[in-house]
Amino acid sequence: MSTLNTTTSTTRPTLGAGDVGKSYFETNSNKILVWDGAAWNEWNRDASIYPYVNNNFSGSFDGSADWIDCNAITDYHGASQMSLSFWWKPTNSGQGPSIGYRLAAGSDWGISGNNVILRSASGTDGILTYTPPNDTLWHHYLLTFNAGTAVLYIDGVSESLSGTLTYTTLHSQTADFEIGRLSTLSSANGLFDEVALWTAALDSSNVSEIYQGDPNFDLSTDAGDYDQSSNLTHWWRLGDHASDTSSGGGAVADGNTIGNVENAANPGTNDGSGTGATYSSTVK
Amino acid sequence: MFVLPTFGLGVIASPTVPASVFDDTLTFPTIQVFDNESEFIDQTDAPDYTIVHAKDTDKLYVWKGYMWVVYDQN
Repeated sequence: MSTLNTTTSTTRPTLGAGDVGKSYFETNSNKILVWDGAAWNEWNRDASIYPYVNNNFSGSFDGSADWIDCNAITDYHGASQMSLSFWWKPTNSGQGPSIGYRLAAGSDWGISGNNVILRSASGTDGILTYTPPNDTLWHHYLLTFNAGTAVLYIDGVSESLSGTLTYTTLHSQTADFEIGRLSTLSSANGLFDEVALWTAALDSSNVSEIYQGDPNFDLSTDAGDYDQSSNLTHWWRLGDHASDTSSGGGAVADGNTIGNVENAANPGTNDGSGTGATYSSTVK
Repeated sequence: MFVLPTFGLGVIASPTVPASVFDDTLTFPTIQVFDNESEFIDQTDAPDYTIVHAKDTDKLYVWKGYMWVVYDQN
């Protein structure tokens, strides 16, 4: 069995001309490093595979009246901390997703196109703007909220958010959390996968581990730099959880209308019910 | 290796055989090569940081203790 020695990006050894060819696995970046006598040559990870987590389906939303209703999620009513994670593949370049909780304008939180929304009253306070990636590839989004501080990571990198946010808690009244739209404000046109919520603001190490793990990362188990499984409240796998069904109760299949998508973190609580959206076999 | 002789006027030249660019004093652990990714991808008992290759995908795989990290040929 051939095994690699390990290092990290902050503890790379100092090598010399006589160390040509020494190779390492860098555990925090998942890179393979080879010393060429003067510098490190790096091989970047292209994918990750978990032996025990299948990811064969995503959810497809056509931009017009397609969504999954996950009912009211009381864990986040008035909460001071929250993390929202998902994979998103837009139909058109530069399109952001639509997902979140919305009672009415000013009583909403989530992501709508190129806006992060975290409001407890109407107005522009709590509407933050970012620039979605200008392509139609899969991207990992992870939004954290921590007592008035919001961070949006796309593919593990913190994005620039412009705007004002003074609210220190999420809106406290009852409204449904929906995948694929932010109520009547906007509708998603693209594919969602692996939507998850935590009652904690994940730090950059956790975010990086989830992103590096690809959509088949097991969010229910701590591994590597991910240590937040105990704060995971919701995880909709969009076709890959045991009890996910097509409309009418049939088995999941490519192109079928989404019926029930179970909350894999707590089955039976906040299982999602589809309207219009379909399963897709296009996954990252 | 067969080397064509070279000729000079009245002199038989000695051909120069270049030294190999490969250093035969170096050794590297042999990486296990599988015919198909499916032969190992569901296994979870590899020692941490085991590196293997699959011929059907032409990819390298490193076992991180809980997942396979995959490297394409690019």
